[in-house]
Amino acid sequence: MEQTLDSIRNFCIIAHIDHGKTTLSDRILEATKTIELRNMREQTLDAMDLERERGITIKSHPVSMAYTAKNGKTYRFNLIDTPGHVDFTYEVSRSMGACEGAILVVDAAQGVEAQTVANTYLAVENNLEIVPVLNKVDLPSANVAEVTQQIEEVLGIPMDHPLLISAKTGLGVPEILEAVVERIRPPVTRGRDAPLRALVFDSVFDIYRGVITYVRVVDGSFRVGDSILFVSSGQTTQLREVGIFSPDQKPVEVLEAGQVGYLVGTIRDPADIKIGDTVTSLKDGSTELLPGFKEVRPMVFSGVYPVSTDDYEKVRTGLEKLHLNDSAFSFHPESSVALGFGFRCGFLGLLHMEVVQERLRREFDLDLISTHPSVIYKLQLRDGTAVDLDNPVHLPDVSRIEQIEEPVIKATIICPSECIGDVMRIVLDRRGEVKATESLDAKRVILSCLLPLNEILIDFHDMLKSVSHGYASMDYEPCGYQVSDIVKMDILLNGEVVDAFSCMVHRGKAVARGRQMCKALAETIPPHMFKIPVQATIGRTIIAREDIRPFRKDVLAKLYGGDVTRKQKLLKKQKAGKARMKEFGQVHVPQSAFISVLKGTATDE
Amino acid sequence: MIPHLYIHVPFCDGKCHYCGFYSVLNDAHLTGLYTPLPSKELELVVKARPKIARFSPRTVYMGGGTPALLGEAGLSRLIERLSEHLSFASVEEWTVELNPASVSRSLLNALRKLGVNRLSIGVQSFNDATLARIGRRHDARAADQAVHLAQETGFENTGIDLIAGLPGVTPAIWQATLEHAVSLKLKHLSVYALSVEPGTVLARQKEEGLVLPDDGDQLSALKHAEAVLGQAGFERYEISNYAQPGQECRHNLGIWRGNDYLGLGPAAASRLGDARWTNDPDVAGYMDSLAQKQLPPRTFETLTPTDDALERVTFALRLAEGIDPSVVAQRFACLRDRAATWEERFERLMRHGITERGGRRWRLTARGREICDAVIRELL
Ligand SMILES: Nc1nc2c(ncn2[C@@H]2O[C@H](COP(=O)(O)OP(=O)(O)OP(=O)(O)O)[C@@H](O)[C@H]2O)c(=O)[nH]1
Ligand code: SF4
Ligand SMILES: [Mg+2]
Repeated sequence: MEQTLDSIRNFCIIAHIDHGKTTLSDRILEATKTIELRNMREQTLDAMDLERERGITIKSHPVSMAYTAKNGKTYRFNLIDTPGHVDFTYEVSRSMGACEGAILVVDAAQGVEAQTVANTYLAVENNLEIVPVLNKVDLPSANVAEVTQQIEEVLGIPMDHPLLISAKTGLGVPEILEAVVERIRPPVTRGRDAPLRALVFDSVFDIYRGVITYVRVVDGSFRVGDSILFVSSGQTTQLREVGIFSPDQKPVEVLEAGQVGYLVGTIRDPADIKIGDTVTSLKDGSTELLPGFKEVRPMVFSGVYPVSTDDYEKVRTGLEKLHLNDSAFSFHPESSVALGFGFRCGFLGLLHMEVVQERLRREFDLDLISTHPSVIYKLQLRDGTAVDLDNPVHLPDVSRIEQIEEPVIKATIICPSECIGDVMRIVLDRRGEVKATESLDAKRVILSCLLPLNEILIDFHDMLKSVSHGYASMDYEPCGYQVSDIVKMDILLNGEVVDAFSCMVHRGKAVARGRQMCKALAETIPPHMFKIPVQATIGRTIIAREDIRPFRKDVLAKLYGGDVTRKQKLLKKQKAGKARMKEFGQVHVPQSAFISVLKGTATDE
Repeated sequence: MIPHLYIHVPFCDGKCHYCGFYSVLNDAHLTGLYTPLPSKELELVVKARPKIARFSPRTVYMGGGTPALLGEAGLSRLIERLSEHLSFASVEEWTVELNPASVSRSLLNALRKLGVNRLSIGVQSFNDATLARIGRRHDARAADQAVHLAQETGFENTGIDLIAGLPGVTPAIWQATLEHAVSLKLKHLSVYALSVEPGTVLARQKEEGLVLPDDGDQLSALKHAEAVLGQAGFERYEISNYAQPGQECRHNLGIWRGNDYLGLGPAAASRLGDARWTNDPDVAGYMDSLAQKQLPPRTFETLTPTDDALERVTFALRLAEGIDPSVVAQRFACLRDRAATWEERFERLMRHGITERGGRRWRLTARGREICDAVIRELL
């Protein structure tokens, strides 16, 4: 069917985490009969098991649908459901590059939160038409008047005709569809016959078809057989398939200006595709680049090691495979005295780290140990060289170091006014600075802070949530580096340094952190035959110590003939259970010990 | 040749609260039917393994259950029938387990006539309240009399069992029990730490809130026993066993040192070469099968040479004599590499006060004995 530009609407759904984007997408898919009701399942667009299980969206998901409006005309909607979590903000901004408008979902019970603000700014920057909707009005705790006011005052969006919806019950969804038609402008183009230009906003890898490039066509059109050029990478290929998402990939004859769809050529390596690049035709193409995206760089680093050294190659394969569909994380081989061979991986944030590790565990059936998350420190050595340090183990001798700089973030925290004191205390406690506070409305404030990135890696978010009874939310972005008194802290088990536990901390925080780590380890490492001292040290100085008491008794009272074989089997089985732990010197350390140190449980603050 | 023979008699006149051994309630009809069966079982075992025909064990151990419930005639008949398929000629040590409640002079005389030369009497405690609490069906006086009677009828080698850490036992009561035991001029004493076996009355009581001594209490009771018995000339030659010099139980020593043994009766276990089997704890099944000239229901398996060897050598750590890795390597070629690593492991444990060296042998220290299973795991 020939599609006039006038009848196309490209939009994304944006919101703070859990405000109901994916649920609303479900309702829109239903209302437009894109998926037959009987094939409908909840959170249709969250395709990954992990997304469905955790109820979070990790990847943006485009979907194309036909909608017949009240005016009798049929429109082509290209909708992109986006993630709400701050780690995946780059997914949101890429999606916006393919759209003219955004449905801004605000939970009427929660109100405007940090990512509501951040994503609204992104949408404004991208020149999108914003359609605000108040979701979850079915909840008794929904406060429509107040949240409407917040949207007007905080976000500066007029709310003359507020759309009140429940993505759960479907209430108000028809009105949204009409609003999309009326309020979001159709795509503009220089024409379908103009030189081809399309924006690459994502890519996925399919083992049979190779790299599948997601594009928004700006000018011109794509057909099977066309030869295309990726302008900035210089990569060329011939198209074997073009299609749309409905919601699964569906081949079409032609993908025209104004449309969102995908291209399949002969490219096998996702690294050959740069997100944000411009695609044009190989012959007589346009040389004019479309505005691309800011490059995303990993901010949080952690060593990922197989529990069993035999699994090293399996981990490599797993990382390579995941990387095909998630170029946002980086990895390179490294080794640890304690853990053997593994990989240093870079992630966008802690959730991203968890997601990648969890996928490795499940999809590749791996037992993994990951080390304490760290950031990149910039070292200035006395001999004038500069070093980027992503692993504490590689810290040069302190006598060679002139100064250490640590990364800083600019954070926006929104919280109820009554807990501003607690929130400020947490920020200060984490060596942060509150730059400005501003009231959002009668009940809530917004704090702008500067914080060292390494201070928010461990349980910062949990602390914010707990002092605010779940109401505080935070958004952040990188904000340069600052010189700081950072030292390396080592952990000794039974007198031996376990390099996997070494971490960089601010000197003023070392003792507290050392105690916390020793305690967490002492609580998770099971008792052994003998007493095991757990010590934290800086250089040669011991700054904290805990002891793991030996177990009292482990002996069968009566061993008679009838019992010998059974007992031997039992012992063997117990031994096999131990083999799944890492052995350092004579100390068996279970995976849970790495996790407990990571989570910073056993706080004694 | 199989050096050790065990015969299980699965009848008791009640069930003690802590007991996880297989026995059913005594019934004169059942015991009558039972007496010829171990011999029938042996006949079938021999048929399948002609090599062991008419073997002559060095030790015999009759346990249960309560062997005495077969009666003097029943016991003689059982032995008579067995001697059709094996020879009792080389038996050096022949032990029968006794319950104080079922000891009589005539029974003891009958046992002596059969060739029994060692008695193991289940006493458990010399405190009446404690005995009642754990479901024993005799008092301290009966236990005392049983021991005296045994000694009078000429059983030089008489030993008793005690349980450490029984509920309600104060240090004073334990002390009194130990002192009483010492006064009896016994040759052998087993002191077992109480363990809660699944399916017992004790397990249920614990579930319902009965407070039992914790590990620390148990260990100090055991330590105290070692001190008191040591004073009286007993050597702790195994984790839970004490003997006057030269009076160790040879049957059990053979098992701990890794010899073959044959067990007859329901729930009895056998170790022959790399074969292992354990009859099901099921008297009815046992009787039915043998009536049809079939081996009783059992679990049977063949171990790998390494598993077989490991089982035979590692439990020797329970013994005061300990383990000599170089002897192990000589005895079992398949353990050569592994045994070579033991030396270093034992040395590391020595630094933590868990093992000690005596010549070429490695043995557990007092602390080591508290965690013997953990040390054995290190060797596997
Ligand atoms: N009561 C009620 N619950 C809703 C409504 N819309 C969504 N929810 C619930 O809110 C939770 C979050 O919904 P999602 O659709 O997963 O939210 P999301 O914005 O896609 O979340 P992320 O992708 O993680 O950012 C789910 O438990 C939904 O069932 C609504 O209108 N009413
Ligand atoms: S008499 Fe012995 S075998 Fe019988 S129930 Fe008591 S402890 Fe168990
Ligand atoms: Mg979602």
